[in-house]
Amino acid sequence: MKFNYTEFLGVAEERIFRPIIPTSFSANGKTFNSYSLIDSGADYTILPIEAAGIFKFNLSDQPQYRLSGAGNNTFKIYKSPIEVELNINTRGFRNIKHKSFIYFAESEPTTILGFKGFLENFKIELDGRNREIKIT
Amino acid sequence: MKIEVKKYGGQWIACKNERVIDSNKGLKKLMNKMESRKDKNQISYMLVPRGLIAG
Repeated sequence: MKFNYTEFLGVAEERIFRPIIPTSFSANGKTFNSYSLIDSGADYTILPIEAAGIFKFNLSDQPQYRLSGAGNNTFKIYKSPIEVELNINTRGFRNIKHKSFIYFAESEPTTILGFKGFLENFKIELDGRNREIKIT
Repeated sequence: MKIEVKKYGGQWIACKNERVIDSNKGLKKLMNKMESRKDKNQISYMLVPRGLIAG
């Protein structure tokens, strides 16, 4: 299945294209439809911590880890208490689903699809020249 | 889809059919606003990074 890159008009009016795909995360009978950034440099699939409330997750007792981002800044992530179903939303095709533990971060700039929970399960082709994402 | 960082950076946006329909600094507030819409299940959300990102 193919998706187009998402275009951002940057703060200096420059055009930036990012590999973002439509996704749904489901757990505890709740679904969160989201656009998520494919990040081949990320070890984990991480949602901003606000999204944990949708699934009624209590993260206070969950394992916490510190991750390093670019620039060596560190931030805290929390593991989801149960596996969350990730659904890649497509028009006219059968949706791709996979269940795994995901993480929630206090200071994540957006939803990140990293190796654990996403990249380890799919073949992803990023065609920057044509601004296309192919997932199989 | 085209998103303006100057306008939406640091905010959650609600999108339908690849168009931004609303925004808010809080996800919960934004979802509550969308709750009354008949098409609420077709709305997707994204936290827009404030600027350039690296990872």
